[in-house]
Amino acid sequence: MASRDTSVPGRPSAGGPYISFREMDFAYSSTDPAVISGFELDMRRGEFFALLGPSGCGKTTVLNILAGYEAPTRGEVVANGQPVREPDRDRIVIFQDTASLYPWLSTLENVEFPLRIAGTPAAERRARARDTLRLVGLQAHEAKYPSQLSGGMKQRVQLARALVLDTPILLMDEPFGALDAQTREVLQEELVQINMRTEKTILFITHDIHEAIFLADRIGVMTGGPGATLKDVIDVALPRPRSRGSAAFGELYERVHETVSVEVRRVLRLADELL
Amino acid sequence: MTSRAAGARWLRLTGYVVSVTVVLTLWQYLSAQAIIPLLFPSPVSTFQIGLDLLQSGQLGNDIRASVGRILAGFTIGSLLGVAMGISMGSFRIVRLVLEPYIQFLRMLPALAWIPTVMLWLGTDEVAKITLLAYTTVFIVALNTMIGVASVPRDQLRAAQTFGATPWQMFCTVKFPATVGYMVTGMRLAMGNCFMTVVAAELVASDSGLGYLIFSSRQWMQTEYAFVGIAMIGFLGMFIDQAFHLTTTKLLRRYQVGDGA
Repeated sequence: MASRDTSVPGRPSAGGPYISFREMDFAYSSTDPAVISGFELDMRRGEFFALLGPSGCGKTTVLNILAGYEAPTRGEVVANGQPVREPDRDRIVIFQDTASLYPWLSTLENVEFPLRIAGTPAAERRARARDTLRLVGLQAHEAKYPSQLSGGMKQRVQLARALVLDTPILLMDEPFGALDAQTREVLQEELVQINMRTEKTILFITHDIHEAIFLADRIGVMTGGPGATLKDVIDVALPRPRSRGSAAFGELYERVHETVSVEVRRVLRLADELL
Repeated sequence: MTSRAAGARWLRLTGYVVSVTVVLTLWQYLSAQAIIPLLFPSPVSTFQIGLDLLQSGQLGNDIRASVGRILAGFTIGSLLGVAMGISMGSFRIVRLVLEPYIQFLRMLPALAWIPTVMLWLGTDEVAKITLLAYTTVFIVALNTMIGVASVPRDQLRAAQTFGATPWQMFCTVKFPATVGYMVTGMRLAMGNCFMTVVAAELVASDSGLGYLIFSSRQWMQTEYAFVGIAMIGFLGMFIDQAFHLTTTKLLRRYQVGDGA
């Protein structure tokens, strides 16, 4: 077993871990090959961590395990000092698919939903939901149903539904992946603004390198599966708000791009050999 | 309403009127050519007999009898079907136990049961309402079950993360997500009810539109049969549309009517 020093990818140099994955393996069944193997990652409190990697490498599985939706076959996952065993309102997922909003509830009712489950009195939950809708700029649309909202608005509702509980950890599974380029950039900027005020710890899955550099404190690049693991972690030491056109942004893009494309090419070669 | 939508509506209405007028005219002409007019009454004479029956009060009684039976059987069958579908969708064991019977019985028309049900329950209202509930229950149960099984996974996972108990999960996610499927099943079942009520009244009744049709045979009053047939068709269309429009309007938020 290698000693746990700071040279291990995924290990932050300072501050105790707030979220940690230890020697984690995942397989769908005992007879299947491991999808993820030996995954190690530590995240600081308040950190924005973006996870990149070839399609199908298991990024979403990592997120689902931290959410408590799937259990690792080996290893341990700890969040906020507690081992992760089941879903918890401390770790709220923003799904890529907006079908996770309840279509029979209005925007306001959707944001109130977590408070309703928690048994918050009606007047208080209404007030809190309205405040949160203002934070994401949807106060004018509170009476509309999800089917009457655009894709970008629906993702803002999902964000509000997570923020209304004052949850410390957000798990975002390619939340802007289905949006058009312009809407995506606007939402990225809004997320930066909101997070400067709310200071969440965020695990953000994406396959968009620009998005990762624009948003994250650190970027983790996964190897291609099967048996995927964290290959490299890259610090993004750029001040916020970041300028997408700056030279430093461009250099970082080249570096991340090179790391990711080596893995993508490896996965494609593997697929060719299998055919 | 936009002028374009208004235009489309006019076009549709005109299409219906033209189509109905052509067929009625053709029917009127053909019945005049019939060798025995008694066996092939014209639309005009059917309408006149219908008016007579309405004024005498008989048609009103028959409509009330048939519609009353349908509503009673449909309501009982729908409630049972929703309860069955929800328990089958929620508990695997219930589904395993009930599914073979439901798959078997749903292929068996209520008609096949009429003689047996008459022997068991006699020829009064209970027997007919039972048959109507029977023809409703399985289609509603199967649709509801599919609805419960089709709740999007992310909706359930989100509620799980927010800490929903199984009962909260049912009340706030599974049930509302299934309403559209229930209504679709009920609308299909309503069609079944109209077919079944006629059959049940043909065999065992002294009232209702089915009885009106069947009794006309004795005196060769073909017009009476035509009146009964027309009334069932109109009532069926009317109730189906009324059900569709009401549920679409009241249950809009549950996506009812989105696919129709």
